[in-house]
Order: sequence, then structure tokens, then C-alpha cells
Amino acid sequence: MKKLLTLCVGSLLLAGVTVANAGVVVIVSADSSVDYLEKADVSDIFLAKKSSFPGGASAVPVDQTESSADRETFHELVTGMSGRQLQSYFSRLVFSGKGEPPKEVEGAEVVSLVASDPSLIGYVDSSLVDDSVKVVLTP
Amino acid sequence: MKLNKLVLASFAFTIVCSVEAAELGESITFRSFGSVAAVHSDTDQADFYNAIAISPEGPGRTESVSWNSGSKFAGQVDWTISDRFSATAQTLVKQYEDGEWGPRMEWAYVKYNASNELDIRVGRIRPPVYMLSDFLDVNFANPWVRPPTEQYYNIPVTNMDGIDFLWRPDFAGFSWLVQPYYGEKDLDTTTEGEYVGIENFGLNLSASKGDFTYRFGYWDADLEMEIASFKQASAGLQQICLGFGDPVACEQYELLNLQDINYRFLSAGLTWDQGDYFVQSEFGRAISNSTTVADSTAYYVTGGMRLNLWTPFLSYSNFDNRMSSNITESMIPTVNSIALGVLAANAQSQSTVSAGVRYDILPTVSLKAQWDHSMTSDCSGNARTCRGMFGRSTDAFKATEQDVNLISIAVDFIF
Repeated sequence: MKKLLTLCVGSLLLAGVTVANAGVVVIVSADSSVDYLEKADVSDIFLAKKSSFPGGASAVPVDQTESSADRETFHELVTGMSGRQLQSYFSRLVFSGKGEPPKEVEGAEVVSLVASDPSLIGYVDSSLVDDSVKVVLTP
Repeated sequence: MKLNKLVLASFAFTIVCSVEAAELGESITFRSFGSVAAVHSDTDQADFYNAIAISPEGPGRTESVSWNSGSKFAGQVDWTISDRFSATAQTLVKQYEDGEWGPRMEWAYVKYNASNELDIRVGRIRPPVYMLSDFLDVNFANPWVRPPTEQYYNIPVTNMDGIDFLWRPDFAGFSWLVQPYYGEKDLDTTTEGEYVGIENFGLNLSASKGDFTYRFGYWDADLEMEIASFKQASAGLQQICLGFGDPVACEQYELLNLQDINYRFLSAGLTWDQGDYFVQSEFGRAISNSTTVADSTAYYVTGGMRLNLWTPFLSYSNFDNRMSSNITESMIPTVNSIALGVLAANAQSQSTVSAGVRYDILPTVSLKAQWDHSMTSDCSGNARTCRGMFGRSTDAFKATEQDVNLISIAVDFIF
């Protein structure tokens, strides 16, 4: 009985992990020298606090358009901001010349765009990842 | 005259940029922000002055409800010239301190991106005296209808012609912004031929990590005043001092030194924003080498929460004039009237409790309602006024400590 319970809880946990992993992953070009990023690094890059990767190479974030469900998930997990909070946040930077919000593209375009330029960093649903990009963070 | 030139320049810039926008495509962006606000005060004995120095009028004695106090509109053009260079111009339409409505050029600079960590800006920029200096007018970016008056009232320098450096190093696990700046500014006054010239430099330092942002500021300004009434007062005191040998006039003349005024503002700030809850606070200490501009302490604490589209908040702010309100009074009334006038102008201690709520109607439009309860103090000493930061006050208002309620409704937007 106890074994069965452990098994059940175990599979539940596993299911939970699987669901989380099936979500959003952060990607850079396969040509990039970056292999791994901390969540804080990714957050800083997407919030225009930083414009380089930890090694010093130029970093340019690519966000998804507002209609994307991945956008909400990504920001909830990484920057910790809702869409409304992001609007307020970037209005502070934009009207004082301290930063610009990231360029926005459709979810389907992220992989090909990021693959084309080692300075770009984006996020997509993990099912869209192919050889042209590498995953640097699974938030 | 100067104003007209600026307006012309800003319009010319806007038109040139609009025309080129079609050709240059994505390299030019036009954006705007603004507020429409109605502010009501429950006293008819004094006007509420909006943050930033001497307002021409306000709700209270002049009118029961003021639309001028918080309404404004700004347009900004950003032009990406090359990978390294960009130019930005922002004009603001609001009722300025001298009573005129803009537009006036608030920002107009060229930015050079020297490296991934460093930007250099030259032109008209805002000295980051306060934590929120950058977006002082962008009410959409803040929870309140206006930044706390007690903290933000004190230093009326919203822009300067100069240079700043935006350096963003990574150090000790924090993301830093190190921003030294230098510039000059002539403040507008209501009288032709008068001016207050300011030469200032400073450092804005901020470090963020996770939900916390820490901020430190140092501002150092040399003031050169060309104000007829001040000059007259100073000359009068000097004359009485030298001519009649009145020691009090001599003492007061020394005290009210109107030349070589140096004014410094030290500040510290903290923001904690966890998403559902946030707290922000600033503390500032102003130090001057002259009695003409008072030493003071100011702080505020604001806390709020986000409930989907609603952001209710509570705030407490305090301004304490640290200037001695006691001087030796002379036997000669003229001598006293000058010195007491200066003392009274600086006696502005007050505190405010605020409660309000922001509602996000659209992703780019918010509606706010706010109640402020202000309490004036500092009636002791020779200054003999309890007006706090209120203006155009009656003698009855100045005579005793006051409680004033303000109700503000505002729509803020960005496009």
C-alpha cells in the first residue's frame, strides 16, 4: 500500500515536471558562444537592464506579440511581470531614453530569427526547438 | 523670446522628423503620453501647488476644481541615426511655473552608444535628482496621480543643457546603473529680465537584484540669482548695516547671502516589487550654504498591491524645513521685513497621508482616484506662517496649523 502510494505521488510529481517542461524555453542561435544562462541574466536582458551576455557578447532580446500565450508564461516565470506591468515599466525607460522594449515577433518566427543572428535571444514552446538553436534556460 | 525659439525649434524638429518618417521607415518612432486630471481642494483659503516650485494657480482659493494642476500632454520623437547614434526630442504641454502653457522642449539629445555597457548623451536632458526624475511627468508609470509633493516639490530643475553617462556594469551580483551628469539651466521667472542660473552636477547610482532596487543620488548646484527684489533687499540690508551700523542688519545681510549659493541634495531610495505587492520609499536631505534656500529633509513611503486590473495604494510623505526659524529681530522694521520674508518663504513643513487606487482601463490607459490629507506645521519662530507648501494663502490660513483634503481624479495614457 505504502509502495503504491509512493508510486502514485512519484508519478504525480513526474507529471507536474513534464507539464512545466513542455512550456517555454529560452533559446539562442546554435552559433552562439552562450551555452547556459541564469534566469536573472535573461530577465535583465528582456528588461533592458543589460545589453550583453555574461561573456560580454552583444545581446538583443526578441519578445513575442501580445496575443501569444507563451509571452504571458515567459514573463510570469522570468521577468515576473504581467503585460500591464511591462507597459508601465517600459514607459519609464522609453520617455527618458534609458531603454526600448524588445522587438516583438510572432511565436512561429522566433526560431528562424534567433537562428540567423548569434546576438539574438528569444523564447518559444519547447516543441518548436530544432538544431538551428540551442536551449540556454528552461525556466 | 527664448521660449519662442524653443517652441519653434521643437516644432521644426517634429515636422522634419514626421516628413522623414515616411522615407526612413522604422528608424523613426513617434510616441506620446499625457494626463487629464481634475483636482479639488476643500479649503478656499489657499491654493494647492502641484509638485515643482511656484505654481501660478491651483485648486483651493483660486478655484474649487482645477484642471490645470495635473493635466499635460507630451510628444516624443526618437530617431535611430546609425548603430551607434540616435536622437530624441520630447516636448511637453502643461501649465509651467510662470503660468504659461507649453509646449516646451523637455528633452532633446543625441545619444552615442559607446559599448554594450555605456551610453553618452549630450543635449537637453533631465538631471536625475530623484529616483523618479526620469518619468516625473509620465504619470502612467506611477501608482499615484502625482509623485508625493513633499519629496518632489523641492528642486525645480526638470532639465538642463549638458551631458550624462549611462554606465551599466555587472558587479557583485547586482545590475548597476552609474550615471554621472553635468549641465546648466536658466530657470524661468515671471518677471522680465530676472533669472536664476543653475550650474549643476551629480551622480545617480542604482543597483537592482531580484525584487529589490536600491538607489542613491547626489546633486550639487551653484545658483546665480538675478532677481530685482532680492538684490534690492540685499542692498537695503547692506546700506543699513554700513550706514547706520545696525549689527542686526549686518548679521542678516551675512545670513541672507545671495551670492555664490551652493545647494546640495543627498538622497536614498528603495523599491521592492514582488509583483502582487510593492513598497517604495525615498529619503532626501537638502543642504545649502545660505539661508535664502533652506535646508530640509523629505521622505515618503508608499505601499500597494495589484489585484488584477486594480492597484490600491497607501502613502505617507513628510517635508521638514530644517532652517532655523529664529533670527535676531532688529529695531528697524525694514530690516525685519526682508529677513522674515525669506524665513516665511522657506517655512513649508507639512505631511500628507494619501490613499488611492489605479484601474487599468486599457493596456495603455489608466484611471486613478486619490485622496490626500495634508497637515501643515512649523508655526513657531519668527517666520510666523503655517502655510506649508500651499500658496496664495490668506492670513487666516497662515495663522494656525491646517488640515486640507484634496480629491484627485485622473486619466493617464501612453501611445
